[in-house]
Amino acid sequence: MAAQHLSSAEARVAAEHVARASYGRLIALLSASTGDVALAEDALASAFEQALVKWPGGGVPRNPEGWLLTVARNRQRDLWKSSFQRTSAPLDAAADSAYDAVSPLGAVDPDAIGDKRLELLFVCAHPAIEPGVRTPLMLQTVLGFDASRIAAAFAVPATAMAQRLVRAKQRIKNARIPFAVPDRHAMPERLPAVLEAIYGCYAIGFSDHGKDSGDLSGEAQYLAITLAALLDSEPEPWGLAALITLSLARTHASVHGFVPLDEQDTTLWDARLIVAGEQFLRRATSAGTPGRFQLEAAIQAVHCNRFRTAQTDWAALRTLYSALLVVAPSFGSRVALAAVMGRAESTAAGLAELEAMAATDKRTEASAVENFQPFHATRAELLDRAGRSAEAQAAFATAAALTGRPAVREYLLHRAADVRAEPDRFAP
Amino acid sequence: MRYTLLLHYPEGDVESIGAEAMAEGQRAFASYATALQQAGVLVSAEVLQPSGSTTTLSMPDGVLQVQDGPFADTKEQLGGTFVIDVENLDVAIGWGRQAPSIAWGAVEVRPGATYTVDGTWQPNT
Repeated sequence: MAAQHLSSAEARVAAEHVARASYGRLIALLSASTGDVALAEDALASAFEQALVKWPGGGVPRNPEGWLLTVARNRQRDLWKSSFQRTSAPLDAAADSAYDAVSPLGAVDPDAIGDKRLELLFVCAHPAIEPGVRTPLMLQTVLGFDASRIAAAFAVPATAMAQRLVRAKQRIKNARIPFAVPDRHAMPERLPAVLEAIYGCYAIGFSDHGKDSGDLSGEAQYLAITLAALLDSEPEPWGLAALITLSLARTHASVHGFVPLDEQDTTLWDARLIVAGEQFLRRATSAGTPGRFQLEAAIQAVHCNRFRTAQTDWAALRTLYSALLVVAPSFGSRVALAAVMGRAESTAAGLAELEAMAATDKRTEASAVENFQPFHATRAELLDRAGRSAEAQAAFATAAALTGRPAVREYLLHRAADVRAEPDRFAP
Repeated sequence: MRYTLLLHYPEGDVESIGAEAMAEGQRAFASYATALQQAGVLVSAEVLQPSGSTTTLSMPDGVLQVQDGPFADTKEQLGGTFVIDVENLDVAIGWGRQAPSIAWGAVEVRPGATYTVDGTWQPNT
């Protein structure tokens, strides 16, 4: 392919990503030396302010990142000392030596020091950090989002979000959570939380929370690719990058109301993103150790392949969902397997799978299936195909009542009305 | 950086757990203390008598009250503490998960704020 022409919007996004990479890299570098993320944020904000004053007259420095780092480090040093003096006046000497011990002010070239964002991602998703604040913490420290924007995306009051972020950063500092990448031995128990937090960022992009939330799926892709590239040899981060990229490829097919995946117009899919996602997936699977995100990405890749072959390989999906259920059992994937069985085998097989699921669920305390929207939507679809109109209609209505997404609700109510309009095909 | 490992677990005596299990627990605690000592991270350690022996003092409305029993009468009680001096939380968690009592209770890993040396307060750095 010839050199790609960037639209002005794409150029702006690219520029924003460069700025964002700088932000995360600088916060990671500054906080790694002291363990104090809030102090690093204040120091960097102050360096940006100085840049706005000095660069217009003196010109942009040849190494802007290095300039910002030097200014921020000096500021950090001043802030560190003054806060130490406020809290414990007789300990000046201790403050000096403690700061110098953890922050040698030698090299200021960020490239020479290396990228510390990976360490920062592991800090944000540390087991000692409450799971619900891990994604917001990543958005703030790695990407530079302000608390009010994060609060809007997560549909919580801005003050509450700000407090949770402040508290998490205090924990990092006070409990001394290390800025370190876990060694190979600890990686299996530490990596899933990082992946989960990035996946959470992607998932919130598809919820109907604040108006900014749509952008977050793109940010999740950026975080996943950053993590994958920094860890390089770990397969699951590449799997997550592939999953998010392939899902993003299809977002344009649903902009004007909800359209089920297998009915989407493939000409609205983004071929460039599909190809990129497939490359990430190949990179992941070359390691030969399958995992949850690789399987989910492979499922997306099978769906996306319809833009080439014009048909869906239901048998391949059945195999992949069965494998996913073994690796990471969930209601969602079991319902999806039932839907796929409804296509790959028969409508009756799909319905039987759902019934088996509901029967198992009844034996547990809280009946989760009852309130699980995808269960009812899938059941409605299968019942409709089986010609059981009355039941299908009721199931579509139940599913519609359970969804929080207006576009999905509209689609389901529309389907319920369609069933009503048709007579029972197999009724006597 | 100093961390205190607070060991919480349901209390038991020789009758309820059995002499053999009790002896095994003591052996496990002995080798745990040895491992901490050899790693050069052990500051101090103390296993407490059961809460049946404890006395709790308080002074509501300025009047001293002396109460038989623990501050919080819960099923799991603070049974012992290990103070360790290690580099960061991950290292402290690494030691905490090896505490023998984790088999029957919770281990709280709590960073210290200040501690005394010869009666003078020092910051925990």
